[in-house]
Amino acid sequence: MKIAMPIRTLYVCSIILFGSLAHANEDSVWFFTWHATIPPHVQEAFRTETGIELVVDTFSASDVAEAQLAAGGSGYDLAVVPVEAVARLMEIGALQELSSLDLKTPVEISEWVLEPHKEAVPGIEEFTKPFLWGSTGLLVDQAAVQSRLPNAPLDSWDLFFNPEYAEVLADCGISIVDSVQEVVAITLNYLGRDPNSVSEPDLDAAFAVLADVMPYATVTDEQFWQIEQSEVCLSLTWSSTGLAPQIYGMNPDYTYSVPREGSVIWADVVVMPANTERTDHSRDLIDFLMSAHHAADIASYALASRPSYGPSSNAVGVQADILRLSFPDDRRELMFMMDARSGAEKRELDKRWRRLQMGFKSGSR
Amino acid sequence: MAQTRITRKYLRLRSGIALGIVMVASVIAMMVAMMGRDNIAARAQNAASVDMVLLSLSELSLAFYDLKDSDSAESGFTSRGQVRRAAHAAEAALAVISKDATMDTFSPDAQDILTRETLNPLLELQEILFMADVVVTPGNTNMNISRAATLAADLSLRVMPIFHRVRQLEMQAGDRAADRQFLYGILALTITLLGAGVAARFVLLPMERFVIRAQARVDQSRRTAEAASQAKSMFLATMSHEIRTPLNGVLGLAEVLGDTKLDQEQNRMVKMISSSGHALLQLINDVLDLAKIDAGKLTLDHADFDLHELCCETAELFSGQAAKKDVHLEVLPPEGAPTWFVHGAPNAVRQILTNLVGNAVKFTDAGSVTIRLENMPSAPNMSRLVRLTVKDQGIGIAPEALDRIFDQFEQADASTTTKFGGTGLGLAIVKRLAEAMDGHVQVRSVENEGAEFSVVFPVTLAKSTSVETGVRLKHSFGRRILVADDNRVNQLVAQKLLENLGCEVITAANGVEAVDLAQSGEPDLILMDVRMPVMDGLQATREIRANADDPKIRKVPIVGLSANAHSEHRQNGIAAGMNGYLLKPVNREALVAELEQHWPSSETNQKTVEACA
Repeated sequence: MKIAMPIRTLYVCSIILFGSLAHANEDSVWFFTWHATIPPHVQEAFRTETGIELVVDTFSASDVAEAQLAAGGSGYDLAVVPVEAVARLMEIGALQELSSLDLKTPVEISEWVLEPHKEAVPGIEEFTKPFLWGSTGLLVDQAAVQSRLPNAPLDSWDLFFNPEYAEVLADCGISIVDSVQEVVAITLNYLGRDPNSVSEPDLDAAFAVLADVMPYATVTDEQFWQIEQSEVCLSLTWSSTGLAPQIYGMNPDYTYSVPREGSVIWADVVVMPANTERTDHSRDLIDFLMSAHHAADIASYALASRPSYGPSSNAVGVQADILRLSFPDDRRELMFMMDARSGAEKRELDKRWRRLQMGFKSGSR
Repeated sequence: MAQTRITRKYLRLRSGIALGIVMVASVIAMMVAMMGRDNIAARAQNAASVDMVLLSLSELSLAFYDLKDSDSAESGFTSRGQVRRAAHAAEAALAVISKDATMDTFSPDAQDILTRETLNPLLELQEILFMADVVVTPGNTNMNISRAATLAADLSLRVMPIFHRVRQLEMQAGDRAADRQFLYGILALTITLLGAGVAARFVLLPMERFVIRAQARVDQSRRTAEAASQAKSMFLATMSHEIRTPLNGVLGLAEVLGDTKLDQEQNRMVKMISSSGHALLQLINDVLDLAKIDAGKLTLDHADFDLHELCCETAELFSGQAAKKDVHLEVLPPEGAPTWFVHGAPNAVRQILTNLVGNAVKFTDAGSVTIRLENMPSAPNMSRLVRLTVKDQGIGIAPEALDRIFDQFEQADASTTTKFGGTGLGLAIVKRLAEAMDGHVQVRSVENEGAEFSVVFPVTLAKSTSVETGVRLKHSFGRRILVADDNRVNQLVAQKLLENLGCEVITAANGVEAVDLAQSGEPDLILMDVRMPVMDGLQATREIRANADDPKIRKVPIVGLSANAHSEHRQNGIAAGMNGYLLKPVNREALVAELEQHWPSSETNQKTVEACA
């Protein structure tokens, strides 16, 4: 019994010491999200409403967010990741369940967003709340393309994947979003194969097609800047980027479309990193982000859709335009979501993707 | 209480158990303390390897970003060199970590990260190194290099936080291990203290109590023994004192009888009575001496005496006994030395000799007992050494008994006491007295053939003028002497001795009578017993000195009588006003010597020579 006393004292001391460090920054909440998703006035509104400072860190490649969460100890209280990354993060224990948070605002979710994942990733709804969603499509400088290729089909992936067209359009710029899973899914879909296939022949076929185009294209996560500078005339891009010229009226020649072969629906979700201790702040932020008023503001600023807005919902104003352009009525049946990839599958894709960009033949080293 | 005796086995067993407990506790404590050491070392080693990777990745990233943005071939060349170096270092670190990861030396959390499928940092690092290879391989186009650099830079940035996390986990595990190590340390200390406590509580304390108790018992026994010894000494002293009083009577009257007209045979018998009485008195004194020796209070009286005469007297003492047993007892004529009148301890020598001759005669049935006196060679500037040897042709002493015959109450054979009598004290006294004289005693013996005891001791030159051997002076003083003594026998002895010396004697039985008679009887000298009833001799002396009417009486010589030889008592007497001090029993020589001090002119010498028989 003699040693119990000093040990207890040590324990209490350590609790006081580390406890105080952990709560040193008590009145702020750290949020890690896509670049240009939180407008400054919303950030200010959070502070006004809750008295808590909202610190926003951004990324422009989802792999960065995934890597931060996978590393753990990121210091973020809430983060945004693509829904297909959630399964991998869950598997390594990088996430905390949100269902225990006692959220005030019920979230209406369009069945399109999480429904396809529920089966593949059991329990995914416990860890995530849908944040934004949109599509991946083709942005075309119609004037520039038509002047070079008068007969080319403007609403088909053929315009993008046909190396003959690519060769012609190389001089006015072809850009590919740096998101390998989406690009491969679209390619497979264009080839008439299963967009979520992981089989070797399918991947070989897809990367063979991509390899033909690659010499004339650039892979980048800075597409918004390219578009703003009118540096490209053909761009495989997200709706959140591709809708900017139309919504903001920047360049009337740019048109975003979901090609007639169909395309990817992407969805971003909020997750809570495993090691955050300020779960009250995380809860407050989720409630704030999901509240009807702010959610619309954020979605419009990000040029994406609120998760409660299904394809047939009655959104108004900018949200109605975004919804209409992201998910055109006549293409909805051809649009699909991506399955979750395992870590190994993702690494295989990443490797092929890098070799492709470096000019190696598909899959070879 | 036999079971509580302290034995060596007991002490060794108990100490061994205590030491064993403490040692086992220490060994356990050390093992506990060592337990976490490897763990902490592994954490530090792993953190260092990850640091190496992180450093290399930082360098690679910088170089990749330079290459990504550079257009000029020259800056590209520099950056590619940087990539080559950093990639080399990263490869080395990767090799170490890959090996460690498979060998499970990382902490479990870090191990999870290093082995998982998703964003596996080791596989991603390999990918980065692959791209670094693309960057540095000659022949690749600038475009390819730039793309590879871009991709590698991005991937590096993504992988670095994961490696950082691994490092963090290792450090945390190290911290936890260090904390655990601290607890282990406390645990180890506790085990040691507990071990020491158990050893102290169950072994050392009982042992201590045990030893203290045993010591207390030993002390108790010693005190009891000392008390008994003291009681014995007291008893002996008291008894000796009580025996001496009647003995004084015997000796005194024998001496008186010797001065009457007797035929030769009667004279011889009276002398034997006298010398036997003296021997008895000496024996009593010896017992007192032994008691004193035991009490560490022996002091030898030193005086001038004739050693040869002493031998003769002793032989004379035993002559009757020897004659009865048909033993020829003789003192051999001394060899060499011009004189045997020396300064030494006559009483001690007499006691030694009495014991040795007594034994010799006692243990010899037929044959001779010889007393030999001789000089021994002595070192220059040292005292003269003499040897007194008593040799008999008796039963001898068994070799195994030779060592212990000088011990108290020891005889050569248990049957000796019953057969020959004796106390077994004699040789013990001989040995102690010899040692007290700075001498020593030796024995040689052949069983059934006889024994030879030798005493070697130092003597010095006599201080007074040599008195002719064996000369007794006839005195006549013709004075009036008051004898004050409460003991009737002593009174009578003194009276007879004095009358034989031609003196008139008046007697007093106590101090008051003595003071009265001193005035009315007008004595020329008073013999005053110190201890008397009614008024003691010291007080009576003071009265006479202070209160006598006649100044002549006030100055009358007063000689104290006491059985107590202590110089302290003599001093008390002189202080009270006494002029002399005689030891009881009073003998003729002492009395004559004392009277001669006062009346030296009154002697009428008539010499009678009595030679050694």
